[in-house]
Amino acid sequence: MSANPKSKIQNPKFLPNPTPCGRSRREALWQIGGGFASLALVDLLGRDGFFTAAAAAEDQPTTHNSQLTTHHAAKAKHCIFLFMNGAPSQVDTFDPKPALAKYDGQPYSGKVKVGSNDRPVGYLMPSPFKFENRGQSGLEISDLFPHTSEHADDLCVLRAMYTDTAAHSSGCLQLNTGSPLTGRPSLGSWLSYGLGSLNDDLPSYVVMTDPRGGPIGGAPNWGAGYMPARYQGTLFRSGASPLLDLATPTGVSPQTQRKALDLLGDLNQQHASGRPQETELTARILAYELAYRMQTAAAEIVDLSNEDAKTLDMYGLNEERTADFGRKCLITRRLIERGVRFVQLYSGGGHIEATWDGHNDCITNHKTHAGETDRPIGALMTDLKRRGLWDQTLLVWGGEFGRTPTSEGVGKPGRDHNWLGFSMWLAGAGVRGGQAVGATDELGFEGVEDRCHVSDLHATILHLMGFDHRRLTFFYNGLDQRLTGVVERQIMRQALA
Amino acid sequence: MVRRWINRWPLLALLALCGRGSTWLAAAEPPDFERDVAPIVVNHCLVCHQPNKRSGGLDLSTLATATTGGELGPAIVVGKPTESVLVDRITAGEMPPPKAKESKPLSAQQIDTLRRWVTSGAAWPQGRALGVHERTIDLDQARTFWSFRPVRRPDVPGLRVSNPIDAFIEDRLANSGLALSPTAEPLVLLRRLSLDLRGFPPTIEEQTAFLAACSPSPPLPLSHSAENEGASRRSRERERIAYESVVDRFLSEPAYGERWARHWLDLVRYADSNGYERDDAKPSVWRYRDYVIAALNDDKPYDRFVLEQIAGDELPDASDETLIAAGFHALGAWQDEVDPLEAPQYRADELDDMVRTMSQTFLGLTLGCARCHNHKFDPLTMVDYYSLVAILAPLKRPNKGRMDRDIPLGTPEQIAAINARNEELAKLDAKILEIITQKPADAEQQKAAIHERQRELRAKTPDRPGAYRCYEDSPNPPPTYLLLSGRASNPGPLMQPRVPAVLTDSQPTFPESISPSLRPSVPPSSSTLRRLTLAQWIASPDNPLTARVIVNRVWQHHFGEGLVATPSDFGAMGARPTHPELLDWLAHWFSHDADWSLKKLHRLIVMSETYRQSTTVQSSMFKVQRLEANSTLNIERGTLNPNAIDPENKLLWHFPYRRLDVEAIRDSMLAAAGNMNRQMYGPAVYLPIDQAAIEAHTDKQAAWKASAEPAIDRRTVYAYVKRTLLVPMLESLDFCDTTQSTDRRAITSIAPQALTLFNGPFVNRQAEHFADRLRREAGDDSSRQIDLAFRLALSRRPTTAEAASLKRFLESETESLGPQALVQVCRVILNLNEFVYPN
Repeated sequence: MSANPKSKIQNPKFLPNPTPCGRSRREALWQIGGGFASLALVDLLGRDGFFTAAAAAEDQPTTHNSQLTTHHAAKAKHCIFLFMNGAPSQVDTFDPKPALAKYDGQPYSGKVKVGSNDRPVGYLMPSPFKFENRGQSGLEISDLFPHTSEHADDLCVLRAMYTDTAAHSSGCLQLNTGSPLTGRPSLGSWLSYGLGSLNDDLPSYVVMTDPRGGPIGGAPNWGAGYMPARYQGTLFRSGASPLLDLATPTGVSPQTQRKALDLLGDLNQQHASGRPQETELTARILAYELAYRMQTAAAEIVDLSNEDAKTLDMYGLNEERTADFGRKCLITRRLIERGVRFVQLYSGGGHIEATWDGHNDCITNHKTHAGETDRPIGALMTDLKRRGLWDQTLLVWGGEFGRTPTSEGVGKPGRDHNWLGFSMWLAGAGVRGGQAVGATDELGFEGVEDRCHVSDLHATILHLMGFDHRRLTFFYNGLDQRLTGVVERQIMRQALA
Repeated sequence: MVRRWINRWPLLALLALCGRGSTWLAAAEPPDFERDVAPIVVNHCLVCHQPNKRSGGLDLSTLATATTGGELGPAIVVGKPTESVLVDRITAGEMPPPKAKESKPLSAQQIDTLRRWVTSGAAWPQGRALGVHERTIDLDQARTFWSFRPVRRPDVPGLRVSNPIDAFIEDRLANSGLALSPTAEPLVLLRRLSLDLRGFPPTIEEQTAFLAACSPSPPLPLSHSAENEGASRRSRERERIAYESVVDRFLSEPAYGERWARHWLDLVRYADSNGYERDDAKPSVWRYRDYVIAALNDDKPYDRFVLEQIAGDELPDASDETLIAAGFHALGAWQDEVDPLEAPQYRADELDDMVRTMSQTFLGLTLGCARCHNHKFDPLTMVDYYSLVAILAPLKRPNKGRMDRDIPLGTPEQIAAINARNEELAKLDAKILEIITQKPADAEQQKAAIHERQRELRAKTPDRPGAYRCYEDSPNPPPTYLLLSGRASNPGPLMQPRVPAVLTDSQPTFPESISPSLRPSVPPSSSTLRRLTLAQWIASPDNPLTARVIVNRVWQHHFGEGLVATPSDFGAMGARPTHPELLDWLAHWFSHDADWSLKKLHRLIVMSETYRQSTTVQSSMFKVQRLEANSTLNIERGTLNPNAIDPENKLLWHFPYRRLDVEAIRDSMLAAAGNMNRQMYGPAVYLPIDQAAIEAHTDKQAAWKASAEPAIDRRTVYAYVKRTLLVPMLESLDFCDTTQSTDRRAITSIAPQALTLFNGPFVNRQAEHFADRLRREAGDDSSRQIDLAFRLALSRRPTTAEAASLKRFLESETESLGPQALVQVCRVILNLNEFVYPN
């Protein structure tokens, strides 16, 4: 989209280069002689995010490239997003609908228009999974999740989630970036932009995809959109070498590696100094430094040899179906421990039944995917609690939309897409657990009470991370852009502790 | 977004061709159900009154449900309009509900039609069920959208005549108070052009020759006398002429085709294997890749390029070349293990992949959306979609069971000769078997004679190479049905071949519309000619999209972004052109004056001042040009900050920075290191893949057998692309999606790329070659080595500061590392930002 050449540019703080030397504070540091070493010091000054800086005055939108402090005291320093790719069915997981048993097999004739594309809405199908009251709170969760259920009193289920699209790619993009269109910065990018990193040796935003493939829509799901490329997510493999070419080449000593990198940095700085507007050049300089430090830091993350056998077992590493996701959850805890801000884990990859997209047989599908993830997620929560990370970490669970309470046809237990009402849950720092917020209708089609748009969820997450979603902005294309867009959004106050 | 539904049923395309809806019908004649009634019900009633919705309990999709009626009673009482709730409510204006979104009141004429139809007996064909997929769109309204309008050549603004591109670009810049940046330095320009057209930097000899051609005169004194102005103009002119001859030379080099073929291969989702579980090789798919390279190098007119790929086998002058080109349809991923029960659905998916790729690549249309429902945003219907499916449906895959295979190339006579020879050979084989079992005394003699005979046969009729392509085998097309909800198990009406209605007001007839020059003299016995009819319609200057789309793609690869930023979506959800007049001017010029010559288009673009301007600018050079007109602009001390006015450089006030794609990065490294293997064409090479990456693959070691040097030093376009196992360097540096058409590579800057380029085996190996070359060509003097390294990699000499940094490193490291120190310098130079972000 073209920037309007006649747009009013009245306030100098909206100009792309807000600091006197024509650079943002952070870029300036990189470019003024001091080189890489001095960065850490400055980062440490403002990175914690637990105090509110005077600089973030109430009426000032936080704009462009600046290293930010939070708007208010943050409840959470880290966020773990457990992305159930493909869209889990709410009526089989966290939204019991006993009424469905009454109408089993009957055609749905209500008013709600659901079902993706022009697919028939089909016949009402009760959940074969058993819901029980869990924990002290009695929160109802289906027996797909015995391990997650042990933490029922910490879960806040948002039962009336809704979104704007019933297509996977748009849905994934919307849950990640607030927009069904491609090319917007993702939630993790906004948090990296807002909070910076707590550990310069690791990316602040890590993404781990499913071994069956990435989510539909691809890399834009963790892209930085119009923000500088440095805020995009970094893909992390869970195997022995989380990042390829991590090791220094054979025959090159650590000393030579460092000196060669310094030489490269020196020459690149000389080149970039004449081109301050090209943020991509700075991003590439940063990438090399980060890569260097990752060499030790990343290798250490995936080295689980100092984890005790009980922990490995708890995460399900000894069992084939849970081993992959379990390993990722354990790596997630290790990343969080080391200061990574945002970790996103995908369960499900590729298409249809390789994800939670249970068109053909939602029942078997959900048994598979819940079976792979429930135990690791339960373990992650237990582990965060016992290591004192629980109160700093926000957990988000859910997929791009929900599924219909109907089957797609007679004798075929598949469920179609449903974007009008679905469940997600929050847990951890700042979340009031042991409750369900919002409700869908009698059959679980549509949210009818305390509805929560995906952007409302984003507003709530930003709030917990210390930001006012209306004031966390990035100047682009003549506008202060927000993750939550221009429509008025609400923080789900009922979900807050 | 405006969407108006009108009462014209798409299946009545023939009637639409006659030019009218139902007004011309004589009043006395009872309304015809299909022609007059169904469109009204489908477009105005059915969305709510369908089996899935049944608003008010009413379903109007069949006569039975309509006569049963809903909560208010029977909607239709045959012969009695006054008792029919349907007629009653629409007459009262209560239906369609005035407040509902997308609802439009019926005209008096439509109401009358329904009333007369009920009166006349409400004729409803036996078993006919109406469906929402039959909804149609207001084509007249839809055709007003910018990209669906015919291409007209706009006037070139201003008086400037040298290059119309500059006229259009400068016009918009001036309106914003901006101007082009000055022309880039000669060597900057040379390197830019070389990377852009060939994909690697210029050689030392090319640099020297270009500089010499640019500046034979003594340096200009720094004053502004008229004489010097003249000299400076002459010098600029000399530079332009020198540059022009380089442009022509680069465009004539085979490297041009190798560079630009890759852009095309992205669009057609080219890969060397089929994907899915087995991910087997597509046998001689590489011949298609070679076809694209050769076509570009030969400057094959783009309209012909389109014809050959869509219908190369149906052309009257079909040749090996055009048969290979038709391999386009076979390039997609292919699942070789499909349950027979799922086969119809898989076939529908396969055709969907083919239709989507074709419509995105050639027409910039995201037609795939219309597979299951009418397009949500563009005026494309399911009928449009399935009409295109009907065109590709006669194509068959070349597989035999789970084996993918080639089809022999050649004329029908040649192929018949080979078949005859093969029969003969088989008979002789049988004879040998006989001899072996019967063991006559002179067995060896007899066998030798037969072998000799076989040799002769093979010599007389040698094997022909094969092409990997789909084929047709009959002039009779299989029936194609509209698939309700996109499901093969749910076939709707029979479809005929047709092009998207919004794009034409005179549908071609298949195949009668084929022009005499393209029509085969005798009707073919093994083809429907449907694709040829379509291809001719696409490859026409009258098609509103074809020229616009390709011109925009070429522009995009020269400037990093197209005039339309969404190069494969020229529809409602796509971007609008930043310079609509320029786009139309180029499209019209390209398809008329330039005779679809891509090289002429490249030449026009790279000769423009817009292309030749520098990347870096000083804001002080922008004088305020239109103070009065733009009083809201931010004005500081009489200058404008173009970064504030157009931070994204959409108006092109400087040449955009952009990172090279992975092919150009890798090829440039090979070129700088003096290690590039220039062998062209042929089967793909397997670049080495790190063990760790192979271990993660399902098939482990069987998945990949790396080729050796010097094969692995060939240009990247010859690298084997395996759909389930991408070469990590390609993957990490933003290679395209291998399963879907990619119109634009992502450009990311992330740490894993730094690991690949700094620690990865490829770059470190090239650094060794690079260092050897420097020692060979510059001797042992470190300053000369550094100087040469910069000229080879960056086409410039190092600055004093750069030379000092490099020398310091080289000298201090040589003490401990010896000759390895120069390798480290080379490794650093290959990793410089400037190496991958050319000026």
